[in-house]
Amino acid sequence: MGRAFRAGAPSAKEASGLILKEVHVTAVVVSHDGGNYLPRTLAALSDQTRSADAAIGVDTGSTDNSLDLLREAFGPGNATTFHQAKSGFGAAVRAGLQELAPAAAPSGDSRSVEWIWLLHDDAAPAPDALAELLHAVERAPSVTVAGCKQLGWDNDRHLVDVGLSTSRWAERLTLIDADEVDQGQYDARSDTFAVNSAGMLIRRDVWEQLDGFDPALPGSGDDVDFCWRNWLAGNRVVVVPSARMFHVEHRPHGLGTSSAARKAQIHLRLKHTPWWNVPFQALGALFGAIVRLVLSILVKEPGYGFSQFTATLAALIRPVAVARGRRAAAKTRRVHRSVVRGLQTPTREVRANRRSLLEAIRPAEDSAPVSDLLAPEPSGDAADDFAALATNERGWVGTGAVAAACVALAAALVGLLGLLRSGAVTGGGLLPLSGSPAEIWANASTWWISLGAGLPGHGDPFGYVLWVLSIFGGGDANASMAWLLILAMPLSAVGAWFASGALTAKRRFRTVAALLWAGAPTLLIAINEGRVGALVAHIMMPLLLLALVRASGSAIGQSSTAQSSTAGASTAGAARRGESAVPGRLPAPLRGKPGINGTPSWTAAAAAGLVMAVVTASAPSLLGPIAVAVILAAVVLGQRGKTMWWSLLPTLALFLPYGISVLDRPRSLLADPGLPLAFDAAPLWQQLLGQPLAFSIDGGLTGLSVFGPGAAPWALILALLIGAPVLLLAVASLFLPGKRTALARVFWLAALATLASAWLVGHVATGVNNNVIVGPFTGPAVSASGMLLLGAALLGAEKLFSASRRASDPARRKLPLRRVASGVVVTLLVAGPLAGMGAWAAQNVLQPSTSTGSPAAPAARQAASSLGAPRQVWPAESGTLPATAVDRGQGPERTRTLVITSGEQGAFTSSLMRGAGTTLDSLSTIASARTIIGAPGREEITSDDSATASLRRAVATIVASTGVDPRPDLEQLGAGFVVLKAADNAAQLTASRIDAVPGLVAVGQTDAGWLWRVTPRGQPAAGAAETAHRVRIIDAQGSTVGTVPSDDVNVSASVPSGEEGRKIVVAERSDPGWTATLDGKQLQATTSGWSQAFELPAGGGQLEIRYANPWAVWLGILQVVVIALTVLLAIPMPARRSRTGMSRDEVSLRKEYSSV
Amino acid sequence: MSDEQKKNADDAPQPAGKTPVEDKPSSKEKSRRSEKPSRSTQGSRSSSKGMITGVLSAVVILAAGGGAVAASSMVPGPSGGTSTDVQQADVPAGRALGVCPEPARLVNGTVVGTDADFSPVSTTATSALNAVVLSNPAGTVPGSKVTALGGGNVAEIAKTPTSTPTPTAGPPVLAAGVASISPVTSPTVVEAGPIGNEQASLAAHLSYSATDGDLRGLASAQCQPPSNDAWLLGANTSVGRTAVLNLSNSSETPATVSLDLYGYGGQIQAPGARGLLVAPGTTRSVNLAGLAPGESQLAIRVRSTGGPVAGTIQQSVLRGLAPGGVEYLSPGDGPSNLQVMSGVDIQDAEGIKALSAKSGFTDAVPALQIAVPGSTDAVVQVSLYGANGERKLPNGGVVTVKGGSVATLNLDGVPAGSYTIRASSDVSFVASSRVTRGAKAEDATDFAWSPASSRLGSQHLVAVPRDGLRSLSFGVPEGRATVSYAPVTADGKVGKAVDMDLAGGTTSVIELPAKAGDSVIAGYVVSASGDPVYGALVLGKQGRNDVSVVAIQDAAAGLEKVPVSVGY
Repeated sequence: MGRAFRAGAPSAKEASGLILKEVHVTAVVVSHDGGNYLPRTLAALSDQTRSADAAIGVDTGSTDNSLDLLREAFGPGNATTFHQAKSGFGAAVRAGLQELAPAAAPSGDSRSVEWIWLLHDDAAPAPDALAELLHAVERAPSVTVAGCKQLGWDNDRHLVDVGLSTSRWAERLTLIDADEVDQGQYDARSDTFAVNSAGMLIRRDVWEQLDGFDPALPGSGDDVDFCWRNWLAGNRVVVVPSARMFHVEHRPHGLGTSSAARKAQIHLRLKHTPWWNVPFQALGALFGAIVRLVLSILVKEPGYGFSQFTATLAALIRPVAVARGRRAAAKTRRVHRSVVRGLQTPTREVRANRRSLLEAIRPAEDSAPVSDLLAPEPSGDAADDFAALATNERGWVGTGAVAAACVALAAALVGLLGLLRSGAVTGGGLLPLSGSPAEIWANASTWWISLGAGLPGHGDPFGYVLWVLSIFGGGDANASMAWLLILAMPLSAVGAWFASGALTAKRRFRTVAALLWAGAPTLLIAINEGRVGALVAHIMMPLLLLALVRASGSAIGQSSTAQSSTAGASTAGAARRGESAVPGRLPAPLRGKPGINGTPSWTAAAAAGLVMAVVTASAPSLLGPIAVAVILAAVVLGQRGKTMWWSLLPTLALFLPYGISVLDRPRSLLADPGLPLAFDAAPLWQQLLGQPLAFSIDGGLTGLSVFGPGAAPWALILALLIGAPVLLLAVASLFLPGKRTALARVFWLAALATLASAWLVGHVATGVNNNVIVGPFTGPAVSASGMLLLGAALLGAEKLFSASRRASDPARRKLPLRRVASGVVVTLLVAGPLAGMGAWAAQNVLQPSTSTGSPAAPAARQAASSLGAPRQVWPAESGTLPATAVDRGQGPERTRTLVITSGEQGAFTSSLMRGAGTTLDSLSTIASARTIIGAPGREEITSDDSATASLRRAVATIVASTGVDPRPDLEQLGAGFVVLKAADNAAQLTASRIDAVPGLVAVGQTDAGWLWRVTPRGQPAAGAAETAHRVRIIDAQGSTVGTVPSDDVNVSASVPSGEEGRKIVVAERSDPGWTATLDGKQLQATTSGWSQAFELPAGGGQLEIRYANPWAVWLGILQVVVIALTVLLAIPMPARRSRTGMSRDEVSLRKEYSSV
Repeated sequence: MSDEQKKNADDAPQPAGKTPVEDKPSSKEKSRRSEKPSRSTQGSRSSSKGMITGVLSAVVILAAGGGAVAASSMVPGPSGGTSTDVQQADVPAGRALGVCPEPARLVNGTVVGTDADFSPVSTTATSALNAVVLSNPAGTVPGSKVTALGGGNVAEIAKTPTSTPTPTAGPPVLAAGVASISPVTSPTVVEAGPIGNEQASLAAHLSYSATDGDLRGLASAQCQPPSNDAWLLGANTSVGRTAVLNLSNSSETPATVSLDLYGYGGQIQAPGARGLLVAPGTTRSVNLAGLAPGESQLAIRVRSTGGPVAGTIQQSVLRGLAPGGVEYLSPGDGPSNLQVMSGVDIQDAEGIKALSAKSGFTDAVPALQIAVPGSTDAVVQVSLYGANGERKLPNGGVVTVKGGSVATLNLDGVPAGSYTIRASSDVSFVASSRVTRGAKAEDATDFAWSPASSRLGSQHLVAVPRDGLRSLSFGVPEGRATVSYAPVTADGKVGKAVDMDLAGGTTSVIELPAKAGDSVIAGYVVSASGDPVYGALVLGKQGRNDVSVVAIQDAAAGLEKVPVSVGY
């Protein structure tokens, strides 16, 4: 220590003979991997006209030769290393000073004034810099900190900063415009809020007094903070414009990142505010961070938004550092805080500066010429994109889409006659929906599945899809379901038309694709069998493909074939290298517009995420294949695939709570939503042709006797007509050399992988309805592979016919052969879907309308497997339950209804319905898969648990009518009504037998079947209007002594006082998740048989029963946040943005922190 | 994986291969012109290589697809849906019930004259109720009692057991509870609770006999379990014949009964036959003459909604001033393509033939009555099996019955003997047979109806009256069968079973002894094995022409199961 002091002392004495006070300057050079810049910096230091009296070097653990350079320059004794690289510049300076140049004792002679001059490794002072600085400080003793004018390292005319300022929000500001040239315009500046730490001259005693830089600010903001405290200590800070410093801008791996700046900004705010304002500042910062996050997502810069958000959080979660900083600041503060107010920049000026920055900043140097960017390009990011897709002289581009949609709509209207006027649709996998969106939402988000006797588990993700559907229908979910069935085909057509625009610019192929998708057998079968999940997945799948293609920037750019060819080439090239297309090396790197030509699109990724969530919720069996495909694509594409990661988030968020609740029974994850419906899975070759259901070659067409089995293999002919042309074109796309072959191959691989995985997954049984065990429907997988093969076919078709077009151009009039061939192919392509739709519509018209209203028992698979499926969806003519039962079911009683359907051979089907009857949204895949056990392929139904056994026993007791009272079981099940449904006369006898069952009072025959009311047992007040309640109070002997009104799941009611030993019984399966409180006091949970019960004290009070999952709230928040952010991200921003791809904030920050 | 690698390798030349297309000079192209030659030469070299790998990868992809299709066709694919057996739900056993009619009594409003000789009131009328309740194989007799229909205990047969020992392996140890009540004054209900989950085996029998008055003769009925649907045949409302339908509702639910009446000319529309309300614990009597007057052959279908009812018809005949007998008509088997009636006892064939010619005596001959509920005409093939085998009917045994009507086939050409009648058709029908006694017009006559019954299984319990002539008649239409019967004595013991081998096409009659050992016989436990056996209990009085036939009722249900599946 002493040695270092002595080393510096003689030179100081030499240099300060003229002035009154001896000035002693110690230059401190801090380096970190600055080997590239240090030589010039050190040379500049030694070239000073007034050289420093002492110079020490501190190296912060560089990996290059920085330390050697410092040792060489200052001598081994004056260079040290400081290994806590992370603690930053200030700490390094402090450590260096302490080790090499300790402060002189305060008792030292007053004639000597010690200064320290801070230098960065990448900032070279001009030769007269130190002299100018000293000159300035000598004139004004109150100046304790002086700084230099910062200019560019390579360009000494380029202004970096001339003094610093802050906004009211403690943002570090230079207020220098982009590319501002130093013309001496700021040379009049003197007092300033702060100066850059590079070349900062500080009086040593002030440095010691202020305790150096704040260790909590390792990089950016430390200079501002130090000067701030300096001002508050009653000293001045000046900038000396004549002292110039050449500073490296945008140094790689620098500390001046935007998130560090944000962190510093928050820290400064908390540090320099009155104590009472700290919490408000913290809250404000948090709020601001959220707003910034949302805004950044809106402008499609989510990465920036998140880094800012996390930086804010990081700044807020270190109260110790803030407290330490505040303490240090308070110790040295001499004047009021408001002193610095005048030096801060008013908000208006900050805004003006920002605006000018934005206007001035040029597009990044790698951007293409403006003329290309002004051309209208479809990207999905702007509303008018599709209109711009193909603007040419042949009239409106959407004609094909409208034509295809009209054809599809006509077929749908004919085929689904009678649905339009209907209230609710039922049949097949379909049930009516709940009346209000709120109920659908409750069923979707519940943690207690209100089905039958109830069971723990989260609602299906598909419930949210139904909710959205009900919102589209203005709250009437049943009407929108009918409309969905009718509009499914036109919507599919339009979706496919849009999606094909990403692959081909040829209108005729887009129209063909629209028709093919609208007439796909999967869709027609999904409509006829009421498989809503498969139907929604089919409609959304083209949009998912479109969004994913755009998210990775693989969509074709322009309608001109030449350009699209180059775009394809660049896509392929980029895909190979796994990095973003490097400009200048590829033929036509049209950069800038996201979604095409290798530019990833956040909007498309977010849209893909939303659509993927819908598709996977509708067809959970596709969750695995899609997720794997997207992850693989994102990994392979690397930087270009970064946006695709986001597209996984909404699906993840949607499935997370559901997934948690099916951890013990993962097969539910594969189950299709809706009523489990048996089907006959097609072999793979038929699935490749687009047929989900097996057909025998000469099985004929379903419902069309003219094309019945016999004369010709009509089934095979139609299947080939629909599937074969597409398949052939898809094969052609593999072999034809040319653009986008890679994409075709990816499509093929994905299609085959989807089919293979679906084939494997198909072995897993996922649902039980009555005595039928079903697996996941093949339809979604066939849809997915069909979509991919159709994509490949489009590529193939374009290759075939665009190549021929160009080749035959000169000889077109002579040789129309290729045109004829093209026409024939298009005709063939169109003939398939048209024939398919025609057959479907005809079949539905000819099919006699079966009886409706009663949910038919799941039909056994047809023996003769003809092509297509008979129509099973019909308008529901009456409610599922009689009105009386519905009243009580939805009233405070929440009475359930036991519905018995008499079937063939004396078998009975039963269901315990709640409310207005079981609805589609109240169905649960967890419930339907719950009773399956066994290895895939050998599944069976488990033996009953006691609740199911109770239900079965009650039904047996009622239908056998042996004079046994079924009420104990019915009471525990909460059933107050019994309904018998039957189609045949045999039920009449059953009905008259049931009349004799003790406790059942016949109400009569209703539209929904015979109805009986269950009279309550032994209740003293049991009047004629009394009925079973969901929640009841039993006494110690187990007989019901009272009832309690309840909601669907929770209970909130007052309970009268009674005798000891009472229990409150909820007609739900017992589960640890149930809790009850009486006047806020927790009740002891117990059971009554299989039902949940709580011990009730003698005194009454306000009873609250809840079903709670500890994760519910957090998962809910997570879901909302993820989905909301994705929606924000998916909203196209029509506003003009800076073409650098950076948001306003980031642009200005880049500028501000270009040289920290 | 290898596909993707190939694909990646193949993509390399793509950008280069495209260079010839870029002929259009544009500002950005110009700047790059200088690079072009080197790239295109390199490109053409690797282009052919790329072409080969491209084709190869395409072939590999297609081969993978083809391979997957081929492989999947060799192993069983996913089925999509399999049906499992519907789970059987145990039906909780209810009480076993036997609802007995009240002793025969005169119709209200019958004028009771002063002449003692021709008084319609029977002074000698006796009635008896005999009930037998069988134990479970472990020997526990279920709790059982006899109560009046309207409530009120009449007699207790056995107390409800406090514990039910589990049946041990080995031959069952049977016991019985027996009750005998005489006289009977009102409709009664015999009931027995279940043991475990099995319904108790119960039989009760009401017999009535009188030697004077209008209701002279022997009438008896098995106390029947109430039902919601029953067929009663043999009613006659022509002059002098009185048919009173008694509907008893022993349940706690009101019963609404509708009667479908079928006569000779087809279905009879009677306004009063609908919506007859039978309150719980009451009997409602309906004089059938009020609904269908003058019908000599009347079949009635009793349907009830609400509580099940037990219906019997008290049929009595008065030819001028001479009583022609009295009988309870009990429900027989429901409509079916095959009906078998046993215990058709024909005596004095010659006398019957003579009697049938007399006016007013058409219903005094044995006959088979057939009712066809449906609208299709039924061609019924009738066979008779006597002691020595099948007897041909004089008219060939084929009778055509109009749909919706009732027809009677007189058996006046059949020689004496005990017969089993088998009637079959391709249309479902119901049938019952009339048995008569007394071949002389001046003698007292009596009649009985043997309704069609179902084939015997194991452990049918038959309660028998304690006096009079009693015989069991078993018929085996074809094949060979074994019947075993064990007496149940009044002290509650079940005697040793006697096995009897029956040849096909024959009817065997077993005269029942009055006593087994020291104790009076109260009933029998009858079991059959082999080909179908049908049985009936034929009752008579020593030295009188009284007759009554009671079909052997179905055995207790045992453990009943109903297939119940649970849906949503």
